Amino acid sequence: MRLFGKKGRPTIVFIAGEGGHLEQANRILATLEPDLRSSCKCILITDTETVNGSDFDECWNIQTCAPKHRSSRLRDVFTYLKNSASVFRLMLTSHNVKMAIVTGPGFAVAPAIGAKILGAHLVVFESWSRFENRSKCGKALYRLSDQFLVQNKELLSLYPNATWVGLL
Amino acid sequence: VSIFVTVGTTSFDSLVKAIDQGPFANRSIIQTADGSYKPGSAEWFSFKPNIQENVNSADIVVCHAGAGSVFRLLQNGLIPLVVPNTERRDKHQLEIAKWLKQKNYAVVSMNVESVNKTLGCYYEARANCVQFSEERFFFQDSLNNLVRKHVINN
Repeated sequence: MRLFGKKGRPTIVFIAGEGGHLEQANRILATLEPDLRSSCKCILITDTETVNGSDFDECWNIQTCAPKHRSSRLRDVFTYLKNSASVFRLMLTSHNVKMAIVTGPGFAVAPAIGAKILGAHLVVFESWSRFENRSKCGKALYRLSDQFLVQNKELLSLYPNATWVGLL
Repeated sequence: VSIFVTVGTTSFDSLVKAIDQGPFANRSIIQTADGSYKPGSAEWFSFKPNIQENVNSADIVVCHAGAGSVFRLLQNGLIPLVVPNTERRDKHQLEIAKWLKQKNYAVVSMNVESVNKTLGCYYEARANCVQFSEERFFFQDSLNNLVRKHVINN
């Protein structure tokens, strides 16, 4: 059920951090058929200013403090929640978000929940670097997601309701 | 023998230092990310938009155990020397390093202290490795159907 009326082009938000998380998001984006790709807007929500989201239509940054820059955990939490709220407001007021695709890491949890509250279909990929342990993002979103996908078969014992999809 | 070392997007100073102060320094090019240690013997750079040229021209690629770097190399048919970055707060690179070792997909040095020794016997270790053969992503049709259903037709 959608809680809010939306306008504009249907939008998919990809929520991904840097490095391998972004690589997975790029690979997912590349699997979209051209007619679908041209019919919707694809927005990358990331936590790193230096991320090159050039394959996406837009790139939004949720600033969190990396551990090496951390001065105060409380301040980091505040910054993260404040920026997540800004992203939520943007999704609510200016975009027609119909799907969220998440590849982690942990910062992705708040915007993913935000998208879900707005009625988006939530697709979560557990990180391809996980074999024996669940990621924080995976743990938090497993039960909330509409589709929970794992890339390594070993994880099916930890996520019994997940779908194995092969390696991106 | 030419060596290319890549640490991905997160600094891994202990690996950079071990290579730079080791016996293979003058044959190495190191991608250092934003680490604070600046190599004095080996060639280095922090970031580049594309490191494929460095990968292609190296005889041996040494990389951190970040899944993005590792899978890209393996899917290109290469057998890298992989070192987990335990300087990170999150130790999940140990998980993929253990998995690579168990599957014999890569030469693995579980700690930085042994990386030069492992480099010295890389070719012997590589002889025991097998080509990467994990099943590739086969969910694209289902994913496109989900997009059609929930994004376009909804």
